[in-house]
Amino acid sequence: MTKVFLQQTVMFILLVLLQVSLFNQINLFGIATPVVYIYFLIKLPVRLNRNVVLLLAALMGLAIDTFGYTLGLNMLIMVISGFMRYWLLYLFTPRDITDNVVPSFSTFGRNIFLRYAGTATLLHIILLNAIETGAFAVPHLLALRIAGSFALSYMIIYGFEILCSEK
Amino acid sequence: MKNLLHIIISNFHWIFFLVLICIAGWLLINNDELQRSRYLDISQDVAGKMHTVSGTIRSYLHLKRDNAALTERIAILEQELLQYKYQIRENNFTTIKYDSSSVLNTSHWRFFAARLVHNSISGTENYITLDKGIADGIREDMGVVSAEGAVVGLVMSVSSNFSRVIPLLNPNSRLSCKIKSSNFFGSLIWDGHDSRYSNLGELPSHTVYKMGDTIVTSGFSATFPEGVPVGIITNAVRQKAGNSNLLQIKLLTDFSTLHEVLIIENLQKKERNELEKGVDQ
Repeated sequence: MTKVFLQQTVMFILLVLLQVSLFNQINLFGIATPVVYIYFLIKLPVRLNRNVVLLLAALMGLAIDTFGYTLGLNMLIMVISGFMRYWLLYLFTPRDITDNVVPSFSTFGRNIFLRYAGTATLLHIILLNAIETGAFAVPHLLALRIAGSFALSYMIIYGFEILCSEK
Repeated sequence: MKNLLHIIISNFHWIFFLVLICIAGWLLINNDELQRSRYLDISQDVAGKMHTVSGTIRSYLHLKRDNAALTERIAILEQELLQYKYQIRENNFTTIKYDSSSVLNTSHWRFFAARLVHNSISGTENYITLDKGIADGIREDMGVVSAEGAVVGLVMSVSSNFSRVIPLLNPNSRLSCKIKSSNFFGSLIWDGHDSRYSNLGELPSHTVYKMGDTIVTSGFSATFPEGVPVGIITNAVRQKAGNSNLLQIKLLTDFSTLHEVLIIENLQKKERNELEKGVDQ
């Protein structure tokens, strides 16, 4: 458990640094910006207390907001994503898993993990873009932004997972 | 009572969820510019230091391109200098022909070079952080231009070592501009869609313009000198409500590759503001 705690702490710091210093600066074709800090939420142990999940999600969102100057926005989305995570896990966790494992290729199986991570990322990006653009939303541009950001984020998260599973 | 307590405890995550949503929502909605500035003054120094590291790495990666741009700029300035020298010689070293559309009269304008440590272009409300602050003489409401001399934005808040700029790519930013060829003026406001384009609105219906005309600062605000280039007219839309024109402007500043900027201080700003304030009263 201590190992998982340490891993999550390192991941928290690394993801905040990467998101704020690198990924927030990317705006491919004017539409696609990777949102990878959701990977922290995806990788929390499956049986972790729901209140702890909410608190960690809020902290992650607040950290991104503080360094990215978007006060409240990412915190709001992360809390909603953290809340929805319970039902996503309910949908995707293989029935034979009873331990408090960390979702990964090896524990969930590659296909199930990718579906779980993909759904979580897509929901997060839809919420983020919808709330961020708000009154300025133009439907086809919003759809393009969501599709572009999702594709890019999903590829990066896939890469992260390959790196993590090779360790 | 025991049952009620049990229900509350077993559903505590709902209450906690709502509390966190309220906090985040409050932060998001209630952070007007003043609160935002106060909070950011504290976080700005920490975040600024962090961004400096990544900014330094990025600026090294862009050294070659930045050098090329600077060399090009030097070439243009050299050429202008030669022209002025030639004019002086032609006029027997007595007068210089003054071109009001150029920013030649820089006697009350001071320039500070600064580097970007953070820049966002993907959001709707974008901001830029620069590596110069109060310690370097930067104050709020100073203008910011790119190394190529095109408008970038306005200094919004300053901490001791960093300053935060509200760029043209922010719907809260308004810049008084005019069409260089015809002198008709309006307000430049970004619509939040494309980081390469902005809109010049509030132009009268009889505005004279043609595609490709340059848009420059009007000089009506004490922030920018008159005639600093902003963009080029690429499209026109006649607004349904009212009789005003709306022009689509291709911005001359490429915000996605911006690294070096100049901050402009108007040394006569205080005097001018005091005068205008006195007249208003």
